[in-house]
Amino acid sequence: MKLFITEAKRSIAAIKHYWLASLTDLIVYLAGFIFLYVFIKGNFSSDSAVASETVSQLVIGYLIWFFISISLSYFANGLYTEMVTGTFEQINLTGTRVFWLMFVRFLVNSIRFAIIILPLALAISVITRIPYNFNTLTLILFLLLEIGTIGIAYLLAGLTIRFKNTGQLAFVLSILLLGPSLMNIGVNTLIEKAAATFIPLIGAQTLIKQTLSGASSSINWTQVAIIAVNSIVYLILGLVVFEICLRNSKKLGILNRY
Amino acid sequence: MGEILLSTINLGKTFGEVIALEDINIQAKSNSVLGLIGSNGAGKTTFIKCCCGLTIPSSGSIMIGKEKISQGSLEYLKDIGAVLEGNRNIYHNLTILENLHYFGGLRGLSKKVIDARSEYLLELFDLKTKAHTQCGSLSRGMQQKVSIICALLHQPKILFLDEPTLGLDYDASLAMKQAIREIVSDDTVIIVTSHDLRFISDVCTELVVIQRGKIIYQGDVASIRKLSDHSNLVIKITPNSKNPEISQFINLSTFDKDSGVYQFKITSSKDIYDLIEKMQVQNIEIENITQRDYALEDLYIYLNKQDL
Repeated sequence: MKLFITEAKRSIAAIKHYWLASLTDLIVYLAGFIFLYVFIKGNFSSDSAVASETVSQLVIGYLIWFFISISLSYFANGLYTEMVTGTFEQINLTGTRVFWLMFVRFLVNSIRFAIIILPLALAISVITRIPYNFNTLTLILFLLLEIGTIGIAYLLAGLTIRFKNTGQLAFVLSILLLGPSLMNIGVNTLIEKAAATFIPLIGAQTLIKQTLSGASSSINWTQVAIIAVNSIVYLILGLVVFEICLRNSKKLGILNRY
Repeated sequence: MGEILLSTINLGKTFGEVIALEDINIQAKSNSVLGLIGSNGAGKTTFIKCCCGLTIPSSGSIMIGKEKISQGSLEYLKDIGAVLEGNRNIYHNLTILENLHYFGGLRGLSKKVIDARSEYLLELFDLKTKAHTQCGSLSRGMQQKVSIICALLHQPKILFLDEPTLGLDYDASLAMKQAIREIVSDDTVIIVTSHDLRFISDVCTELVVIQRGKIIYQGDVASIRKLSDHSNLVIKITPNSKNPEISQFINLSTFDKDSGVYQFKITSSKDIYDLIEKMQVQNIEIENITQRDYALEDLYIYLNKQDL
């Protein structure tokens, strides 16, 4: 909790000093939602069940995209910035476990952006009078998806600590992870089946869409269990790779090099 | 000086084929300032990073007090503070106080402790009026001071300062000397590296010279002058004076005709009178005379020559 408060204070201080940057962030998110509103208003009527499903999918797709971006950005890019500015070694000297600090940073920033995003998402629903089909299962799947994403973010962060410049890896990963949030991936071909089974993000996103279409009763619970196990495996794998890379970097004496 | 706060036993580090540190045995005692000197790449920073857990040593061990550090443990870091060379050790986008609260928070200090320590240290380093200034807009000297304050916030027993005077002007360097003298105490040791030998001889009580990863000299700074049986007499002659006949002075060690500065080795006060007499005989006008004991610079030059 103490670490969370410390990190939150730092975040608030940074917003205070760079208020214009924070304001432009807000404007970008606001513009996104205005666009979403105009699109919904022009294409759907409030009494349609299809409208509710499609709009819910659009909004959840946007939220998934948003939180995956934050995860990747605040883990790998955040670390890279620390290494470039030279504060990474000082963080290591404080005795705080780096992986834990990174998670807390991610949490703080997720809350920070959720404070902006969630009211906007709610406002759209109120204004357009189109209810969202979110339910408990949607939330559970969303959390599972996030756990898997954090695992991948740790992996990426570990590679950044060890190899410094990971080039377009973060971009490639975002495309892979964000793709299913923007389009529907079926489970017809072998590749699609394998992707849905072994990549929690793809499986979870497909299931989330099913919960939004009101088909929760026909949800394949085995698939939910696979996603849960996958997410945890991804998280553990990410953490292990991260710690190995951190240790390796200390062995090579390149912790703060970039 | 008292209790041993840091000791390394046969500490070694290799990077592939390169031996960065070899059998380093150092003991740093409380209430002392230990100076680490050596040319670039000698292994000073690697030594500090090994002690701080930022680089994993290849061999040997490190003890904090009587406890051996086990790899992967972070507990011992509560006894260590470090300002590392060439790094931004602080966040430039935050104010001094915000930095102190952030690093204090990461170290698990309470707000009350951070406030009390910040007030004391800001007063000590004469930065109280700048407490709410963003670090990016401070001078280099002030940023260095803030880094030291951050490293001292949790009252570490061992403080590492890697090149603390790098890029500082004379005044800032002088302020740094005073700060180091003030913070060293009965339960603290400061380990400082610098290429500024005058700075080292002014602030350090102990000295370790590292060359190519090995210790080539270890001792207390005060006894350096005892290492030689002679001191140096520096005579500057007036610009209008004729040059001395060098062959007459067998104890001449260095000279610079252009600036008129001649340095002689002397072993007794009789040597001084003899020198002056010979100068008078040759009608040489003396502008000033300075006697200089065998100093760190001389030792360093000597050790480097030996090492070649």
